Amino acid sequence: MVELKNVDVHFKDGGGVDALNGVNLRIEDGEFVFIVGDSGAGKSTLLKLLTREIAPTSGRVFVNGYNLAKIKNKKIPYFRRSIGMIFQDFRLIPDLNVYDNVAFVLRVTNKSKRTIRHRVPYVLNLVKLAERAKAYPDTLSGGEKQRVAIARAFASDPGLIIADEPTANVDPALSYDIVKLLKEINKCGTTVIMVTHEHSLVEYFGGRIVSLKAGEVVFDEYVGGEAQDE
Amino acid sequence: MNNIGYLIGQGLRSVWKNRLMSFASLCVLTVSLILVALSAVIMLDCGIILDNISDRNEVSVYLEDDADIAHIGDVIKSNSLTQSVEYISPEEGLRKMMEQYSDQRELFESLPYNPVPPTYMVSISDLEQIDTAVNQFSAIDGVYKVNAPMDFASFINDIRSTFTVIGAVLIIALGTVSIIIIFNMTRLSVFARRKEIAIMRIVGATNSFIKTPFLVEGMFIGLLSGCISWLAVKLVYENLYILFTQNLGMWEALGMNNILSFSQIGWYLLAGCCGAGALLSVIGTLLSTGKYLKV
Repeated sequence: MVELKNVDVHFKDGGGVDALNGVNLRIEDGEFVFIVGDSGAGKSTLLKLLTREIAPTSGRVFVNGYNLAKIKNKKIPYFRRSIGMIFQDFRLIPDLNVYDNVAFVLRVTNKSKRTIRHRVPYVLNLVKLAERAKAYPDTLSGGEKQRVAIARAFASDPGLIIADEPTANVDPALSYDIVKLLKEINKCGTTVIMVTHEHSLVEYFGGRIVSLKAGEVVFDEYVGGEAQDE
Repeated sequence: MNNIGYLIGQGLRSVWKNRLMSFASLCVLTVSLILVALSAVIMLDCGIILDNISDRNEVSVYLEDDADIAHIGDVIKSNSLTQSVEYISPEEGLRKMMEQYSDQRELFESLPYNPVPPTYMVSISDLEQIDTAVNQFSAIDGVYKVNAPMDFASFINDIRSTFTVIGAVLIIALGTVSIIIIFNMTRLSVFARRKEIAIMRIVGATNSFIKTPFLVEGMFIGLLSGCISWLAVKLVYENLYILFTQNLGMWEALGMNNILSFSQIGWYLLAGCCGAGALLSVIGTLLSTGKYLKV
């Protein structure tokens, strides 16, 4: 579960910027939520809060049972193991092949070799990249790179996946496949929070949509989409 | 613990990836260790030479003709600096002198009286305290004169003191330089792996997991430097040893033929070089990762 209560984030740099103002948001386990908003609306700040890259200036942030306003530095790595991150620039390690990029997250979290041998082929199969396991990132298309990133985010079976504009650097036609893949993962019970500014995707898939403007939540409702109508 | 092999592999891979900086660090650390190790060995040898001199280090205490020989002997024996005492009567002293200068025997025989005074040959326990001993023996009533081989002892003492200072300065200066070099090597390595580190953080790697490959990298450079410097010191020292022990001449007279052989100190030196190399590397790496790998 994700819960933000009266959260303010104020940056002192640049003469002082109020990035988030009194944000209240509750996302239950198993939900799929689109976060939308223009540039500067506070989407990135919200994601940084949820991954504990920054702490709130005031208010409380709970993610997967962790109170991120009070969490100790030593506990942050363990909290981050409970979430999976997907970035618009993929952030794959160029020296590692597809298999090792996915295995990387399991090694980092001290999983056994046996677990790695079982889990990596499973998630690569899920994202339909099993045959590209030995390929290196620079030989993959944008869509394939993003699917590797999704596999990596899902590899440790996190309770929450946060996707930061995952379709920004892939062909429009493939964007739908990426969201479908995230929807499939969501069906397994994983909560998914996807930040995007592609309205066509949001309109197509529908569901819960949270809109930010000038650091405030201005819209938070369930909307029907074409995909749901099909 | 599942990842120990993986982390070691990452550290060694990083040595190769940053091979230019690794090589520079290796060279600086090796030169530093060679100089420090050679200074240490020279200090050790000076100590041994001084010990040898101490063994033969006899002070001659000449007495006046009417002195109370037994009483003076007791006073000398009770002195804390006295290691052993041997009394040489005027007759025995003259006989030894005639033996030593046998070509001038007639000159001694022609003397109307025995010029050699009653003498105590006193071994001093601590060479550095020889000045004190001479002063104390000279102050005894009935002592005519005290002779001591202070010049050579003082010379060796000066050498040892000089190398102690040089060694200390080398350890501080080169140790600091080595730590700075390792610090920068680690900084470059952190920069080269910054994307990987950012991903590690976001997927929940602990600080120790992120830092371990850098420690492995530093330790590897340190241990390799230790081994190379040990080989270099072995090469230099074994040649010096041959010079001092096989081409005897004056070295033997000065007691230098008893310096340590490499086989006596080789293993200690290897442990010292590798230990110092690893320690300097670990300090440099920890300082660097502490500064550049904050959560």
